[in-house]
Amino acid sequence: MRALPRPVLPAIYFVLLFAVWQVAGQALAGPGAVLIPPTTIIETMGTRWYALLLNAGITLAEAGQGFLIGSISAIVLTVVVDRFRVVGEGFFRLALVIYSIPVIAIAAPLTATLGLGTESKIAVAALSAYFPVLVNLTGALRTLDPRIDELGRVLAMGYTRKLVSLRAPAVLPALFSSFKIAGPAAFIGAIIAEWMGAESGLGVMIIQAMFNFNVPLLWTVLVVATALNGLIVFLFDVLGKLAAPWHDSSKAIA
Amino acid sequence: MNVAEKANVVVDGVGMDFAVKGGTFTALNDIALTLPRGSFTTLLGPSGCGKSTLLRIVADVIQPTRGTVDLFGMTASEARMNGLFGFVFQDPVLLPWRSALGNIELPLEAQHVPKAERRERAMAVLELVGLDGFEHLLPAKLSGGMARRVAIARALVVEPSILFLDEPFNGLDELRRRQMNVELQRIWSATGTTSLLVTHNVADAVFLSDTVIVMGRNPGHIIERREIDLPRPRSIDNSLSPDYIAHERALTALLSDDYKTRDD
Amino acid sequence: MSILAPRDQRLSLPSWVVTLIVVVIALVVWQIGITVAGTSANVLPGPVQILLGADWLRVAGAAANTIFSTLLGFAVGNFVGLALAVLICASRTFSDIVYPAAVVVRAIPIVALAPFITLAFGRGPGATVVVAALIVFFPTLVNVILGLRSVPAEALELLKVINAPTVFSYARVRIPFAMPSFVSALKISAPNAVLGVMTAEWIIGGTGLGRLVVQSWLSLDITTMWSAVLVSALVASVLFSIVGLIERALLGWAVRT
Repeated sequence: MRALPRPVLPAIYFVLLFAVWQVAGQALAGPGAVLIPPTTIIETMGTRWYALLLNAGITLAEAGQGFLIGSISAIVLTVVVDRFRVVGEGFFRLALVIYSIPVIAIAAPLTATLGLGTESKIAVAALSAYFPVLVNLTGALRTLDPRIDELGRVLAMGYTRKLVSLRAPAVLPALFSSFKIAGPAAFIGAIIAEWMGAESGLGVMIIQAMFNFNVPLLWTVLVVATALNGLIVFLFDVLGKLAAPWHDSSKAIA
Repeated sequence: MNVAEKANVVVDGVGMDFAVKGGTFTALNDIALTLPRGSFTTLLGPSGCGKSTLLRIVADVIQPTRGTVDLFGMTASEARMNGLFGFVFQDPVLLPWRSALGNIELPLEAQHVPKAERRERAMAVLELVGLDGFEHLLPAKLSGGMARRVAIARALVVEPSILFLDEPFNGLDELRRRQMNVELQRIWSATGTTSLLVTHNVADAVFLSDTVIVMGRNPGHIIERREIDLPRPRSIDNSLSPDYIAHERALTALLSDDYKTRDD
Repeated sequence: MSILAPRDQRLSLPSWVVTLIVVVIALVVWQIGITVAGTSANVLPGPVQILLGADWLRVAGAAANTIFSTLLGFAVGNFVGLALAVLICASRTFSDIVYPAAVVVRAIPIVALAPFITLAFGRGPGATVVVAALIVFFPTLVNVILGLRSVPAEALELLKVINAPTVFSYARVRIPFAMPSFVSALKISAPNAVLGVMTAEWIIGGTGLGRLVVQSWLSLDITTMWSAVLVSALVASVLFSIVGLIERALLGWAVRT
């Protein structure tokens, strides 16, 4: 009915947006300018690619280790919450309270305790990552289709058997959708922890660029951070689809 | 058509095409039908025959690719703008934050009817559908059957000239559905509103209709028009009698033929 | 965090009492652990040392600043986000443009933008409000657009059949339908707003909790640092609870179903 297929119009506008950004960025160029044209960002990426790559790798490594520690402990804690209701409820509340501490506040004492090395970054990343996994997984286990539980009873399964064979596969999609939150959270947690003091990493680049008033570099690092953040979400989205290919069809029932 | 007894709704030459990947899909072709004023007509057909699309074309929710719809001497759009339509959807789509009464008042609010009159008219239809005493319940507290009654009341509160019903009792259990049919017949007799029902349920079609229009697929078309000359009021007891069964058998045969030709 | 705290299934105590008991137990365990292990208060002080040793006057003043910035930013960001989302959705063309961008916008680590925002908006105390507003703005914008677009098709058809004017459709049907996704945006952004304000405070200088945490750490006043950490957790929890209250007021109908 319409002359243009739907993706065309937005595409035109985004090209226009970038053009305006470019023109405005060039017009406002000069020392102290806050807006940087996209070409300058690409240029900066070209000249600083090695530093960007190195620092991104360091931050991703910290975030990755923190993510692993955080999500594994969250999975363990979920099983504890699920198996032992009263004690589990207590742990769950404590987890909630700890999570309400803003990352920047927890980063300072952790850096004070663990030092300026990677340990403090990994710890902050882990603390950022555990909560989404814990909440999503606990919620998914609690709201599981009661028929799955009934099936386990009918088949005379014990708690562990039922968890491994029936309930865990059923909450796999929820686990991956929690990873989509936990992954970026670990990444940003690592960056914030680096702000507190570190030798290298994207967070260090951000802070240095800011204090040196190097606006092009600041923009570039932020673009890289955003792209990596999106990539992490995309990665877990794809992994989730691979791990639970039945999910889309099962959504219609749920 | 000038002599048309009391022909109030006339659909002529209506067709509907949808753009799909690599061409067009014809959902409806060459549909012509007449609904006499005050009659109860049913569009009966399998899934995918375009019966819901046809209903929405008559109700001016979507525009046909071809053909004309005339309601009481007006175009479908004029009739809708004049507030002549009541529509009961497959899902009751009640606003979950409003009470039963609040939901029924919604169409009157849209037409800027003063509050006192709104309340009065909503209470009247609430009583008509047998829900007096439940007016302050939120939709979450209503049973499936009650929610359908609220949806019907919301359609009737504007005193429509034509009532559209899109599989309104889908998902209710068998006995509840039959009871709702009896209720709907009672409401229809009490208001005398011209009604157009869409369903795939043969028994519902026979029980409720003056006329059943059987539709087939690929593209959606009218197979046959069958008059249901059974006396009214009809009851659940009667509906199991041979007269009813004969109609159901005839309609089922028409539908089965359509399935066979498609499977070839 | 985007999910409701699960309701008690066996415990019949009110939720906040359970949390309080758990917090008290945790503090006692912490104190005992510190005492038994003989950890120096310069590394990790116990709750009693923090209570007695911290500079509470300074902490309270800092907290007041942080709370003020957060609430102001929260209000501004949400108001602008809501209004813009409605305007965008009212125009088919706009929503076609913004919808794909929403995916990109969601990926932007806004907290990481805090240094940039303070750079762009100067180092005045206003920058903290801007950071909080921006942090709140994006999730609200995206979620309200998604919510407005997720109104059931039949509800939209109903509006057409009853010939409802556009303003009526939005005020009575579409915006209320979008409220659950608005509230889930609030739940994400409330703690982030506190985090954003504290980050900005830390960069700018200012007198908020963010500055206090870092300053007391650098001056080795570890007890004051810990007290600021605990108070910031309290501020975030209170803001989160306020969102819960808003949810109950706005969405009583959705919670009960």
